[in-house]
Amino acid sequence: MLTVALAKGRNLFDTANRLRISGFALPGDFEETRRLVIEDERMEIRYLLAKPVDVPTYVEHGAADLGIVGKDILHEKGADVHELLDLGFGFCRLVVAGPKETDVSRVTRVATKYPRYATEYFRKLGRQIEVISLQGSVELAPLIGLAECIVDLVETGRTLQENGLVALAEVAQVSARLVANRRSYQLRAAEVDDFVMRLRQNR
Amino acid sequence: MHPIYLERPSGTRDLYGQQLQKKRWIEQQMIAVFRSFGYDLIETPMIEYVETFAQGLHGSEQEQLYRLFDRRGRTLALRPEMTTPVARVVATEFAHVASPLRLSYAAKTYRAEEGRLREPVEVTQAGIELIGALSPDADAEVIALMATALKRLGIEHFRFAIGHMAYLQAMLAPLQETLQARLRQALIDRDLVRYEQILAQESDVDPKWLESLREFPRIRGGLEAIDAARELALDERAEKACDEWSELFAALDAYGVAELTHVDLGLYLDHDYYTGIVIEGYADVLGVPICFGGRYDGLLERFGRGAPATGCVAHVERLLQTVEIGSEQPFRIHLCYLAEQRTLAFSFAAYLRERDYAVATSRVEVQELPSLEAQSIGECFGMFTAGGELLTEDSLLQQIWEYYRSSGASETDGGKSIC
Repeated sequence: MLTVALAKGRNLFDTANRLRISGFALPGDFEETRRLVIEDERMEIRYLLAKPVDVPTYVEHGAADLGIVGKDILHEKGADVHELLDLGFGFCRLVVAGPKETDVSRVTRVATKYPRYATEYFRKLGRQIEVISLQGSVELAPLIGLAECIVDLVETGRTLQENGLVALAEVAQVSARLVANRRSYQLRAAEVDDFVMRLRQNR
Repeated sequence: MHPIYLERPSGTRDLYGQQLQKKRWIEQQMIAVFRSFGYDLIETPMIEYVETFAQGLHGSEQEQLYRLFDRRGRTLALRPEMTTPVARVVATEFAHVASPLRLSYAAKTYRAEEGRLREPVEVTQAGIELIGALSPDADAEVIALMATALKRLGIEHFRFAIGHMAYLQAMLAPLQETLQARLRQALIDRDLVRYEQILAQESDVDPKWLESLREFPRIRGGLEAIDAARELALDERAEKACDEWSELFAALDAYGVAELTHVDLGLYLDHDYYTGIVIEGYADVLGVPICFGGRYDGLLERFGRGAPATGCVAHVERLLQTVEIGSEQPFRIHLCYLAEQRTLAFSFAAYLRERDYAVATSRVEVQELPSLEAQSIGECFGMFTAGGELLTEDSLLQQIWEYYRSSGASETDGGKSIC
């Protein structure tokens, strides 16, 4: 039996949709259920519904063989897993945003939930910045002078707009990824490849 | 808050009791298997000059060195692995010893930072190096040996993934060096999405070849995977690597371990010195590899003694999490005595020790049974009375004592002289 960790929240609807199209039987209440473990006996798959940020951890330690999670979280956690597929949904942009007169090349303090992305992006520009690590409402930081700009995910751009901020530069494009545990990728190669093939065929 | 002198440096651990006995047992079993394949033990210093490691490690690995300074200000490093120090010894001390050389070790290694998975700063590696043997049979020997060792430890479900550095390099070779480096890094990071994204940006590559490049890293399997590798091979170098793979499998088959292995065309081990077949071993109860190794035909040359070589190491702390069985615990006995019964207590203890019991003796000032905690759980406890009798609730100890008294062993046994 394969264990697959799925990220709850933003991507779960698209994930379930994709799994169904790919021939995996999920219960009808899959998206609403409060159960954390769901078994599909026919396909011999067990799904774990986890907090997105924990999915890479489950897979890295082998508690799950496979996982579906956003690239933003995957990169930020730096998990040691096999990254097998770009699933093409959950598409988002990670941007530098701030008041529109901000000069990105002169920024020194950046507030973000994504310290790794932020540090790497500015290092590529030859800038060593101070990262202010926040857990949420990152848009607040430039308004109260905590940071000059932010690095954050943007879907529609409405939150930025309503707080008088604009996207100044793109850091990365992210989408949902299928990842595999290192042991499972080798020891359960046939099952893993079958899962990959099904998801790949139904893009 | 605890003062710092009560803490361990981060990434280290204390080991004792059953865990430590199990670890020692694992090391002993592995060394016994190494010896049974004709490997001698070797020990090298915990510290080497950084220049020594620079011969074998690339930039990011050198950043991870645990560095210190000697009195003249030269930079030393705690060894991050054993292959490079062994290569140094083989090129210097053993310069005139004919190859093939078979060397083995169980040694602690160090890295400066806790890595991913909170990998510890201190890691025990039990491994082997086979130096001066070029044929795939040498690689098969290393794999068969590791398989034997893992079986000896009672690990039932494990597998080796086998890659080939020369195949990977040959496949990427016609591309620009900067592009190659990006693709290599994607494979090292096990990021096939990035690998394919990089390839997708290449417009001036022949589409058929592009397809080969895109497909090959995902291919894993037995002989059919080698056939697939041969189909995709672009030049003689890649074909030669396929020949080596085939021969390796023939040798593994002869060893009877072929079914424990499979080929992984995309396996890329992040060590600068690997040149040919590379290996990674997994047990089904652990999410991370338990052993790794491969062929490093260039490393000895850098120390001035050109010789092909191959080797493999197991991560002992990870084996510790994998292994169920362990050493047989000796039956532990705790004897208490009053000062006047000292001679009797010591000679009975010596009698027991000769029969492989583990015996601790403690002097007490009054004759009373200590609390259960003091007797300690799982230990068999006895107390000598002022009259020279043994009080115990353990029937086995009672029987041994009675036999000891009645057989006259107490008079003739050499207990006294041993003490």
